[in-house]
Parts: sequence; C-alpha cells; structure tokens
Amino acid sequence: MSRGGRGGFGGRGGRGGGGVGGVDIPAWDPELKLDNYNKPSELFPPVKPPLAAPPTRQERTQVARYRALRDRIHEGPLYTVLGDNVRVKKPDQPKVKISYNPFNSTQTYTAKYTRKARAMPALDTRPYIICFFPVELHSTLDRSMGKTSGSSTMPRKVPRRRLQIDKSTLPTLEELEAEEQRRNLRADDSDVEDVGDEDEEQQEQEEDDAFSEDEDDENNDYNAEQYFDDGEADDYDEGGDDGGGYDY
Amino acid sequence: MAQHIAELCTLLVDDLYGNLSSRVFATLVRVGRLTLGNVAHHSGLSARQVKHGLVVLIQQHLVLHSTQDSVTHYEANVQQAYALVRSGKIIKLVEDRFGEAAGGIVSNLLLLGHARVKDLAEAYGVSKKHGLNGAQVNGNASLNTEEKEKERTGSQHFKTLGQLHKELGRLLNEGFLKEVWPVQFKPEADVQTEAELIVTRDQYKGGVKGTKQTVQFNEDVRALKRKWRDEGADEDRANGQANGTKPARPVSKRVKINKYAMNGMSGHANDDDDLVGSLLDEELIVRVNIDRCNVAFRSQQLVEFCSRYISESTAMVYEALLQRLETKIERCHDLLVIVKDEIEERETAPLVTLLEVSNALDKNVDLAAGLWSGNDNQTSSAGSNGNKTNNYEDEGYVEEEDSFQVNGSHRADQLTARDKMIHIKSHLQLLCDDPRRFVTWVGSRGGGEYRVNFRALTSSLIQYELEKSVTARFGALATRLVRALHTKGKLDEKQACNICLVKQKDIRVHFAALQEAGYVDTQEIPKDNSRQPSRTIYLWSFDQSRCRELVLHDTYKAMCKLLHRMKVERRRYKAVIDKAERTDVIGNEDRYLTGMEKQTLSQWRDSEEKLLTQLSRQDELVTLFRDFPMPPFEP
Repeated sequence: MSRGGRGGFGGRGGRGGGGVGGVDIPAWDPELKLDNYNKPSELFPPVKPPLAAPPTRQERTQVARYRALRDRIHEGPLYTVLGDNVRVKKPDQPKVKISYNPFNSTQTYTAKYTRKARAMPALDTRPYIICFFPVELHSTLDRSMGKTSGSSTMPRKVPRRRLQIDKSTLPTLEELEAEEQRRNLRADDSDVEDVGDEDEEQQEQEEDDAFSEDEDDENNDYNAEQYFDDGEADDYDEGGDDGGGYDY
Repeated sequence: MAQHIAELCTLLVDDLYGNLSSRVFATLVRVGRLTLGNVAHHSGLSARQVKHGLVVLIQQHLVLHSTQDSVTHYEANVQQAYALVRSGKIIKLVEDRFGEAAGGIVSNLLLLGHARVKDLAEAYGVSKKHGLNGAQVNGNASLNTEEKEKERTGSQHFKTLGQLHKELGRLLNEGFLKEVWPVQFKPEADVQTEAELIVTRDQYKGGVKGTKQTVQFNEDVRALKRKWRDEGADEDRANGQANGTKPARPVSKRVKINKYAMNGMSGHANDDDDLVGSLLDEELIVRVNIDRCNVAFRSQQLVEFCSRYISESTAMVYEALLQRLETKIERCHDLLVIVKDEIEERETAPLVTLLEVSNALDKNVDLAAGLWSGNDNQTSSAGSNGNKTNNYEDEGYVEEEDSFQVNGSHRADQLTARDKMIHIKSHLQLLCDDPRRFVTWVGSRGGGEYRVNFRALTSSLIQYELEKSVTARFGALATRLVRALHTKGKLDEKQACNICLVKQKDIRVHFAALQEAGYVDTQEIPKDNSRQPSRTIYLWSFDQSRCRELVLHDTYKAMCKLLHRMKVERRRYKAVIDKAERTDVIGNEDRYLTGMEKQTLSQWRDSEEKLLTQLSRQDELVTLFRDFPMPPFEP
C-alpha cells in the first residue's frame, strides 16, 4: 500500500515540531481562543438586522412618482387581474364566472362599489401604431380589421379612441406630506369627535380635491364608465372561451 | 444566476401591468423565444388571452417580435422590463431638469409606452381639430368632459399646441425622448442576422475569407446596425444600401432632431398663438430613451462621489460640466462601437470648455466656498450663502485686510466675469488634481478644454461601492485587505501582512471569510512539477469585474425579496386597502373610514414607502454595476 520512504505519518518529534509531510503547521496558539471550538454553537444566535437610513426627500418624491404612475396604470385599460379563478381550460368544465370567493366572504351590499377587476385588457380604447405590431395581432388590436366585411352585423358604435393621460400637475412632496399629515390628524380626531359637522367636512373635502390628485377621478381623463358601460362586453365572446370579457 | 433577474422582471411587470401580462412575460422569460401557439401552450392561457397580453407587452416595449416566413416569434425584453423600476427616478430627473410639464410628458409616455405626437396633443386637449371632433362624435357626455377640461385648464400643463411641441422638441433634442422605429421592436439576434445577410449580399458575394476580411466584415455589420439604430431602417433596408462609407459616430440623428427643434424655435417666437403651424412632425412617434437617462444617472452618481471627496460647490461646478458633456454622449457604453485602446478612446472622447461650463452654471452657486482664498482664516467651510454673510459681519476686521474677500458674497451672479472664470478654473483644477481624476485638462481653447475619463471613474466608483459592501459585511480590516489587493495586484500572505501592517494570523480569518463569500480568490503557483503544497506559492487576488457580477446578482435577489415582501405586506392590509379603493369611499375618506382604518392605511403607506425606497437604492447599485461599466478594449 504505502510506498514507504516516509518515516511514519505520526512522527512529529525529531525536528522540533516540523509538521506533517513537510508542511508547516502553525503551532498551537492559545491566543487564537479556540476554547469553545468543540461546543455546539447556538442554533439561532441573536442577530441585529442592519437598519436602512430613512428615505431622503429626493427618494420620497421618487417613490411618490412611482406610486402615482402605478396607480394610473392600474386605473387604466391595460391592467389585468386574473385572480384565483383563473384556470387552465378544460373542455368538459362548465363556464363559470366567480367574482368572489364563497369560502372567504359573503357577498355584501358594498361589493357593488368595489373596483371591478379586469380579466382582459380593454384594448380598443386607445389608438395604436399598427405597424409596430406583428400581423397576427392586428385583428386583436382592431376588431374591425380581422373580420370580413361580408358579415353584415349592426354597425357598431365606434368607441372614441383617445390616449388617457394625466394632464394635471403632479403634487409636490410638500403637498403630499401636508395631505398625509392632515389625514393622520383626522385619524386621531375622529376617534374622539363624533361625525357631525357637515359643513366642516364639506370644506375638508374641497381642500382634499385641491391637491390629492391620485385619488381624484374628476381630475383625470380616465373615464371608467366608458369601459364598462358601452354595451360591448358581448363582442368579446367571439373566442367563446374562459373568463374573458369583463367580470360582470 | 439569471433566474433572479428573470424573476425580478416578472414581478415588476406583475406589479405594474397585472397578472395576464406578467404570466405571458414569465413564460417568455422562462422558456425563451416562442411563437404565439407555444406561448399559449406553456402558459396555460387561451390564445385570445395570450394575444391580448402580448399587445399590452409590445405596446410597452416589454416584448420584442420578429416575423420570418409568416411565423412570428416573440421574445422578452428584459432590459426594458427592468427599467420599470426606474420609472419614478426618471420622472423625477426630468422634472428637476426641465420643469414639471416635462415631467408630466415623460410620465405619460411611460404610461403609454410610445405615442404619436398627434395623439398626444389630442389627449392633452390642445390639438387643432380637437374641439370639433370630440363634441360631434360622443354627444352630450363628451361635451361635459370638454367643459370640465376647459374649467381646469388653469392647472393644466399645456395651453397651446405650440407649448407642447416646444417641450417635446426640447426633450427630443436633449435625448430624453427618442423616435420609435420598427427596428426597435426586433430582438437583437434577428437584427444581427439580418445585417449580416445584407452585408454579405451587397459586399461579400464570394463569402468572407481570412481574418482581415472577417474584421472588416464585422465592422461593416456594426456600421449597418448603428445606422438602423440611429436613423431607422425601412428605406435603407429596401434599397439594401450598406456601402463602405459609414459615419464614424452617429451624427445624422442629432442633426435631424436639431432640425425639428430649430423649427420649434422659429415658430415659437409668438408664444400665445394657438394656431402655430405644426412645429414637430405630427406623425412623429416618441418614447422615453432609457439609455440617455442612464447617462444622466451616471452624472448624478459622479457628482455625489465628487461632493464626498472635494466639496459641495466644486460638485456643483462638476455637475454643470457633466451636464454639458451629456449632450454629446448618447449612451454610457456603445456596444456597436469597438474601441481598440485607451489612446483611441481618449481621442474620441467629447470635450467641454471652461466657457461652456461657466455658461451652464447655476447663478446661485457660491463659487468661493470650498476654495482657499489666500488667508488661512478665510478658508470657507463650504457653507450656504446665508451663513457666509453672517460670518463676514462677525469678522468685519478681516474683510478690510483681505483684498480678495472685499466683495463679500461670492455668488456667481455678483462676481465679475473674470473673477467667475478664475473661480471656476480653480474648481476645475481641484477636480483635475484629485487622485480620482474627475476631469482631465486637454488644452487651452475656449479658456481651457476638459475631458472626463468615464472608464476610470466608473471603475473607482465601483470599487468604492464594493468596498462599502465589504466593510458592511466583514469589517474594516477586510476592506483594507481588499484595497491592498486591488492596488497591488496578487499578493501572498506575507506581502499582504506587510502592506496592511497587521499580523499574519489576524488576516487569515478575514481572507477565509472573503474567499468563502467569493470576494477574493487564491491562485496557486507550484515552484516545480511535483506540485507539493510546501513548494507552492499561494497568491490572493481580487477581481473587480467578478466581484461586481457577484454583488449584482445578490442585488437582484434582494430586489426580488423586497417585491415579495411588498406583496405579503399588502395581503396583510388587504381588507382596509380594498375598502379605501371602493368607489364610494374615494373622495369621502373622512366619512367612511374609521380612525383605526386610517391609521392602518397610513401604516401600510409608510411600510410600502420604505420598501420602495430600498428598492430604488438597490437599483442605484444595479445602474452602477450593470449600466455604467464599459466593455473591455478589443485590440
């Protein structure tokens, strides 16, 4: 097995702590403090997580801008929520549309105010530059293009196609902060005082309208009714498949 | 490792554009290039859903496509998807530089993906035929909206078409917006193939032979791709024109856009005129130019770097200088331009003169701050203007003695032109003399010409960030080791000890920890063929680019976790958020929400703000590690 020539592996004596196989092994050093080396270490030693510095004004504004943009995308026609009821299509499954989960909640009256989640983007609400899209998507963009003109259906009301953008001024950070502060104040107050003073409340609302832009539909070009109430939901069923169209 | 960036992009798309889009996007990222049918197959969605999802994604430039032989393939555009996280920053940046209206335009374009100028004008309600059109088609309902629009024109950004076009022209001219061409929707690989085909067809009919010809061929392909990128492709491709005469740098685009802006200027002399002729081409299609924004972010980080090492006022001068340079730089690194060596890069680098800097400088900068003014008592401590004047009042006796400071305040607008120049020049001298070489002096034309070596500066910025992260994780001694390795190259343990002035046994622990984390590595060099450990030298080394990649991927992962965390937090507050978003509650928060609910909401907003802030900080690292570094030289 061994080819010999090495005077035994354990032979440490001889040349004053020479080492194994000619390699210098550092002598035991009590300063290394390896005393508790043999003990099992604590499984989850307490760790202090590093805390990030609070956001600067610049960063807060950036975040505010990001949120504003996101809110507007969410309000716009392209945002979609598939929800829990999305499924892989199986032919034998009946067509069901579930807009609420019976195991979690019962339908309440206020549910009619909840924002309707869109399962499909409403594409026909804005103009497109058709040449940027591949040919096979053209019919999706503009449903009049894909169909042959022979099928004489009712002449459909042409929806008004405009870009929905925000024309009003973006609130500055000061305004956002002021609003937040006011909100917090209100939150503290309303614990104590009863809801009663209608006039004051009215005033508060008006103030609110003046600078809370992100929660203010009036100030926006986006017109929610346009998407839901133009009686076009039926047209979407040409594919005849699952959960498409709008959720009601 | 690429999984993290893929996951991150999917999460971002999900956060902004919802489930359907993100599901299609995730499939494309996971599987790669696919046809429509395959996307439907892999995602488990119906063909109609996939089509709708793809339309949204293409409109936002998140998916690229190419059609060959009537089969269309789709590919995810990861770069663009990542840029979604930057949207807040981009809006803020443009707002800071060009005012709120420009910020509005940019945020709208981010919302829309790309848009035709005409449509944009109509949406802003300033187009020429706008009044007629809207009212006729939609009858009463839209009349109401028209009236409302008129009511609030007070708060609106643009009152006339001229204003909108002027602002758009300015942004186009500065490069923050760019024109959209069909070629921008093609995947990189397809563009490459197509360019190669055309170049071969036109110039290399007999095939490419030999190394010399291959080099020339590659250069021709790059030239064609540059041309497509900067000028659009359609007409050129029809003619198949790709002859050898290519512009060294893409200039024509700038000329073209400048022309637009020129028109804008001339037409804009009468500002209030509502019916100014169309200043920009109405059919022009614009989008936000991410590359250009990255250049601006680079300037920001460099300015911050400078203010850390020199002083605030010098940093202001540096900012002015970099912003002047920015107009001459289109992107942080251009993969289509091969730079052979440092000398070539130095020669092609854009220059900026003292005069330009002086003109671009903000009038309110206190130029004397941060400069030594000839008297030790007077070395100004980079204070604000208000403080300075107070100091002078207190130390009135010094004023009389010191001729240089008699003027009192040294704000740029109160200095004589000559003094201003001298001050700026000394600030630039400071920048030149700093070991990091913020600027380099080139010549004396225009009062002094300067150049910025972005390659070296990026490298020192990256090193700075890496050292910061090492300090945070392993302590100061580890940073000292890394720094020594970076400056001296490969070192063995003894040399490292000597340089860092620590005992050998102290550094072993640190080296081990650093190696485990992948920051440093060892190289073994055997002294002879036997490769015995005793007869081997072990060298420790630090590789910046490797380390950069490592931290970059960690950052992606951290960002993913932040977005996940955001989702979890949102679920925690879901009931209240849903209530606050109810249509009857919006606008009547005070009536319908209880105090408790309001508190919960503001808690949620705070925690989301914290997470988003952290996300944008991580993004700064990604910009630095991924977007700034230039590709290595290719001899």
